[in-house]
Amino acid sequence: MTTYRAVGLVMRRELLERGLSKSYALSWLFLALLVGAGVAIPGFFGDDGSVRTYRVATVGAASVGPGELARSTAPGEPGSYRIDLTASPDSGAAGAAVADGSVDAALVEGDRVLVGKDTPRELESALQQAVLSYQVQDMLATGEVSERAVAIMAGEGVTVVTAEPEADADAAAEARQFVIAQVALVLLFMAVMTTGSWVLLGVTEEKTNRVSEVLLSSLRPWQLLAGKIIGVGLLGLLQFGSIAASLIVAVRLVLDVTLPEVDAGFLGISLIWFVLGYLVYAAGYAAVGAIAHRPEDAQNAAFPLTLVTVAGYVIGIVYVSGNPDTVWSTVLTLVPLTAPFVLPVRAVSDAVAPWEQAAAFLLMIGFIVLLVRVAGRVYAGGVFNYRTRIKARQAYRSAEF
Amino acid sequence: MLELDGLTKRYGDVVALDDCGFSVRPGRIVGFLGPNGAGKTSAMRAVFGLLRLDGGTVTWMGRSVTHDARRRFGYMPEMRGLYPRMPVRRQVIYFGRLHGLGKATAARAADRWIARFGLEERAGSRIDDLSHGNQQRVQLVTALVHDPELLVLDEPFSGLDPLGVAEMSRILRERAEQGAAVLFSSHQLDLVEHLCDDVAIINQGRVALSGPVRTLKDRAAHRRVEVDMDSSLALTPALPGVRLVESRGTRHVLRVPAEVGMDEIMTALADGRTVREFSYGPPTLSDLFSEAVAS
Repeated sequence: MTTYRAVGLVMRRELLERGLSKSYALSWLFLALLVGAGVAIPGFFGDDGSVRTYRVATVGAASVGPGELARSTAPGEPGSYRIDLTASPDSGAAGAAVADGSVDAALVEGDRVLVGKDTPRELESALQQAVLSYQVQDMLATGEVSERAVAIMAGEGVTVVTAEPEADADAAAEARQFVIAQVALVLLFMAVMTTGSWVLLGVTEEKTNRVSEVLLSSLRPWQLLAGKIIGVGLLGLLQFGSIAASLIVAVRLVLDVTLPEVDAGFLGISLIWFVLGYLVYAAGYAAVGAIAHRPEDAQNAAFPLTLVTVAGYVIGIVYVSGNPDTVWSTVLTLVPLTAPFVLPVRAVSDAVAPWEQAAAFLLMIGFIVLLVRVAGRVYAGGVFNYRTRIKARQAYRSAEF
Repeated sequence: MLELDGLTKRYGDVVALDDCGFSVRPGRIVGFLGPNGAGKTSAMRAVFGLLRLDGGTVTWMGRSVTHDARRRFGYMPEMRGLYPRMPVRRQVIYFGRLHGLGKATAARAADRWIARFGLEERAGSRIDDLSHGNQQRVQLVTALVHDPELLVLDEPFSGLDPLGVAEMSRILRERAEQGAAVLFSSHQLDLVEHLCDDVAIINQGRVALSGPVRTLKDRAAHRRVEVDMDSSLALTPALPGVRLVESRGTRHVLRVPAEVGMDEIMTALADGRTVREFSYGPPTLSDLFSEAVAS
């Protein structure tokens, strides 16, 4: 039997038996409920029946008319909005006010609407409509030719200008990627803690119910561990992936928020390091499971590894995100246990040189292969110790494989 | 042929195996006997490479046991091991496939062996919903499902009812007749004597006695005499080397040197007494075991 087939059989068993278990379904349901609540609750409470007030700056006398029209036609009912107008000396000052959020939008010289990235869509539409309506009313009053009126009605009478400076576009994209990187770190941390504990308990249970002795009579320990790690990992990926997908759908449908576009290359890097991060920690948890002598002892035995996971997460989210270019950040990129928490954060600001990415990747792959082998050997040495917890070194030395 | 040669294993100051060696030939059933802690489980684990030996070799058909060879072996460990929440049939198929069977072949073999052990009704049940005896049967099925060339079973009869013991004995005999080498450990010496072709008796990590049961009994230095007579055996015959082993009322068991013939001992016992029953024969396996372990 080939190694591929042996690993595949173990993986398939994990997928079927664990995937169809009640505990897996319950954890899935719990996460789904958590996400649902996270999306639905703000949806319910966000629209609390109060009247929203939008501040609009007007530049020039030509803007007063459309501004007043917009103000007077704003619904002003509970659950809707009203508009307050303030005069601004020139378009520069109005643009700055929109950009810094002191006003929500501005009307310039009667035919331009200045909006920022946070300008509500309903305000932007209302202002456009007011400018057009005002111009049409004006033309009807002065008897201007109808061709122009037609053009105005077709939308050519107003220009919407984004107050955000061009130079800030890259920074905005970077900020979006930074958020994605932070979300990836949180997801990785949750995935490692959740699926890592599945691997840990799975290995300890196999040891406790003695099935490992039968398994090891026909499988190499590392094949057993690799199959288990991949199977559990796929279940975790399925669970987290489906939750993330439903989160995106829910945010779009329930909260009516359009998600920003993210660079595909960056998403790829995040995904690769998510998988590598899971693999390296899962192998560690598998080895810890082999030296624990019963499930109750497993969490204690895993404490140092949990500590490393938390440290990696904190380092990534606190230190590296603020200091992506330091020597320490470079070093942490090359250390396999911290790399998954560090590299995606640094990739946001293009702080990782290609050689660093390549070196970190190769080191990581080598470390995972080595770790699975060592974990397999620790497993083989620790798995027949049914009475007490033994040290990893002792287990490693006593293994036959 | 499975050959264990000079196996040595220490756990600190404890010697688990001390130059342990014996063989198991295809078509033969070998009973592996020894007191608790004698090294039986360690030796069996060594066959599957499950412990790191300090010395010695394990060979199958003259070659070191490889991982591929082990897949053609069947193993039932001392500590029973099955997935408690996995249904019987799925579990048997899984172990069959781990031993190299294809999906369809494993399913057919699982159904055949499940039926053979009368477990059809429980094929969909989880292991932890089965009785202890049925769990034991499933454990044996997982060791047999791939028709192994070598069967190594650690205490396969413990926990089985008499019907289960009879069925298990029949299956082991069948496997041996079909050419498999069978090694099993047990403390049920009568059963081993009845079922096995050969025995290996291990004590303190070292094989004290091994060979065909018949030969060992015939070559023994003493004979077993059982007698029922009308008086107590205070009058043990004054023959050299004769020893009273056990006495219960009028029934007595004697250990008699092999050179003392049946007529000679019977004459000595009947001297002025009425002998109601008399038997003279080779020692039982239990006698050989006690002697080997005592020495």
